[in-house]
Parts: sequence; C-alpha cells; structure tokens
Amino acid sequence: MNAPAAPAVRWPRILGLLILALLLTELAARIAFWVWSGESYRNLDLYRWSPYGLVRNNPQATSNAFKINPNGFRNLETFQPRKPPDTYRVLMLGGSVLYAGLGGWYPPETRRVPTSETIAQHLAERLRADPRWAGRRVEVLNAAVNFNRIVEVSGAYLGEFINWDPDLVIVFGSANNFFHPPPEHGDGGQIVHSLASPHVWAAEFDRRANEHTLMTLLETAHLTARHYSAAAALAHKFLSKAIDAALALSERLRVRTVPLDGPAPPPAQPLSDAAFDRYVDDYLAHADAMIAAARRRQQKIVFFWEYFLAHVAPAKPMGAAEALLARHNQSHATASDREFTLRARDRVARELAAQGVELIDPWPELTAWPKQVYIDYLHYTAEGNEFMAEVLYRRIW
Amino acid sequence: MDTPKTRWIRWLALPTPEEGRMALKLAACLLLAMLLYLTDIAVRFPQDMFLYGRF
Repeated sequence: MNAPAAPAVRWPRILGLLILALLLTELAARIAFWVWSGESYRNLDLYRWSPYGLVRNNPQATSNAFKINPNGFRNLETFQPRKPPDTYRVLMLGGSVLYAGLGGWYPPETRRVPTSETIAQHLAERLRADPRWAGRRVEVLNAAVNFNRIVEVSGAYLGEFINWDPDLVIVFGSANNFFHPPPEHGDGGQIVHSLASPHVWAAEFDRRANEHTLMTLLETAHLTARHYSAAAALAHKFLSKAIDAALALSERLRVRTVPLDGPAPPPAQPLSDAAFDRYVDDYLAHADAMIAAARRRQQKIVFFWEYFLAHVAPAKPMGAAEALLARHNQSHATASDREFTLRARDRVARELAAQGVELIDPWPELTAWPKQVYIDYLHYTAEGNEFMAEVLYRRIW
Repeated sequence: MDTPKTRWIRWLALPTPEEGRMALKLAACLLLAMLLYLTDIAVRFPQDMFLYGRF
C-alpha cells in the first residue's frame, strides 16, 4: 500500500504569512518609535545631501533628542528665506559646538542639549528683551551642521545663506579646522589634516551620486525601504550596530598585522613653520571669501573661537564634574596640540583684525567662570550654551 | 460539493506548521541578505557615517 502523499506546500499562503508578519513588525516598530521619540516615524537619517556645503540637517529626522525645523536648522520655529520686513536677522553657521552636540567621553547620565536651549535660542531671547530691538522681529538662525569645516561653512554661506539677507553672520566651527592631532606631512610630503583632506563623507557622496552599479541599485532599494518602513530602519540600525561590534571585536582579537602592501610608511612628520602658515592660510582663504561677500552685501560678519576643554582646563576654575570630564578627555591635550591650536588662534585673530573683523575669543570669560560650561571634550551644557550666548551678546552688542 | 464559499473557507484555514517554518526561513533569508549587504558596505566604506549612522 502506498504512503499518503505529503500535502502540497501552498506558496500563496506562505507569502501571505510573510506579509502579515512584516505588517505586524512594522506596526510594532512604529509604536516603538512613537514611545521613544514622542512622534510618529518619519526617517532615521540625521542628514541630507546639499549642493552647498555637502550636507544639511534632515528636517524629517525622527529623534528623541534633536529637533530640526523644516529649514534644516536647529531651531523650533520656521523661517522664510526672504527676510520679512522690519526684521533683525542673525545667521549662525558652524559645526557641532553650535549644534550643541555630544561626543567623546561623558558620564552616562548626561542629558543632551535640546533644540530649545542652544546658543541661538538664548541669544534670540536676549536680543528680544533688549529695548534696542523693541517693536522689531528678531530671528536667530542656527544653521550648524556637525563636522562642518570652514570649507562647508563658506560653501553654504556663499552658495545659499547670503541670499537669506542676514544682518549679522556669526561663524563658529573653528574646532573642526584646528584640532587633535596637528597637521602633519604625509608619506608623499602632502599636508595631512582636516582642510587638506576630503570630507569624511565625500566617498559616500560620490558613490551615491555618481556610481551606477548593481550594488548602488541595491543600495537605493535598501534606502528606499528604510525611508518608508520603520521596521526596515530598525533592522538596519541593529544590524549596523552588530556589524560594527563584530568588526571592533575582530580588531581586538587580531594577533598581528601582516602588511599587504609592503613595509609600513614612515611616521608622519610635524609641520614646519612654513607649512603651518600654509595650513592656516587655507582656513583664512575661505574666511576672506566670506568677509568679502558679506561686505559686498552689507552684512556684518564675526568669527568665534571654540576651545577644547583640554586647552582651557589648566586656566579654568572647575567643579568636580567638569574636572572629571577634563581628566577623561586628555587626549586632546598634548603639548603640540595645544601649541598648534593656540598659535592658529592668534594668527587667525591677527589676520581678521587686519581686515576689521572681530574674532570673538571667549578665553577671558571662560577662565573666570567657575560653573560648568563643557558637557564633553568640546561641546557645552545647556547652561554653557546660555553662558556663551551671553558672551556673544556682550561682545557684539 | 466544492463551491466558491467552501474553497474560500479551505483557503483561509491556518497555515500548517511546515508553511509557518517556510515563512520563517524566508524572513531569516531577508534579514541575512540585509546583514551581508550592510557588512559589504561597512568593510568597503568604513567611514560611511552619513547614511549608515556611524556617528
């Protein structure tokens, strides 16, 4: 007698089951996002590509900490590119210090600075309370983007923001140009450092914009799925974290390195004085362009110097919490780092002053202020943001 | 007698364990493909922080 035939696999049923499971996962992911951020899922990308300055903040970013307005600014209110009549408009450009970021070592209970408490918001409150602007609308635009060097800042200003017609432009972001470690000569004698290197995301931009391969097609499909599906975004996030953890583990477990391309290159050499001047010139070339354009459009412009905690720590009175931060973030404090940074600051200040432009250097206020200003190795606490807004207000107005 | 109604009732019956396992395998394949793809990106472009959140 023959055994009864196995029932046929019903593929439509399996497909239906799969779709049902995906829908339930999507629902659960959307609930999780809502609980986490207090808003419905829109997108996990923190940035968008921009023709002027490479990237901008993504207004659609779903986050429990950072709110980005529809202009891509770290502001809660929305602004019109065309300045409304009878408005005093301040445009703030820069990197993560102005954005009020958080990085390096910090205590786990640290609270991120919300969008309502960055320097720009405190400055706006201060100006609105000033009788000199009574009856006028005051706008302070926080157009900071993390990692922005002056290359990106000047591109964004010259290509777009100059047309927003600000009355005053405040340029932050010095730390992304002058930071640990100081510039060096590379293997071929070239200068190796921030301004002389492509942006860290340049390769990614090139792949996404210019490559047309099967892999980039898959990438587009993947990113589209992630854009529309909270479940795909969550899966992406967890898998990426797992991959990074696996790569870090393999790096730790590595027994020895076998050079694949012959012997290792000789160690990089510190810059000569002439090469150092050339490096600062690269920064100043962008600053000069911004100053010239601002003058042409009758916009006042000032620059602001950002200190690493390690560089002011020897001179700043500090409480226990800030001293702990300073101890944990000493990697930026080698003698050559400090010497390079302060020398760069002095030359930038001199060159700007020669053009009648102020470099707002908060050193005197910082080194006289016993309360906590820093939240990590470079960025400021909410109170530190308020403190820096006060420094700006007193110096500029 | 086999009518459209009875056919629908039969179709809506719960999947068999075998069909459930098959659906699970397909879902696992989807995740594995995503993992392989992201690993490829992570190895070839270790500085991709923009789209891949290494920030």
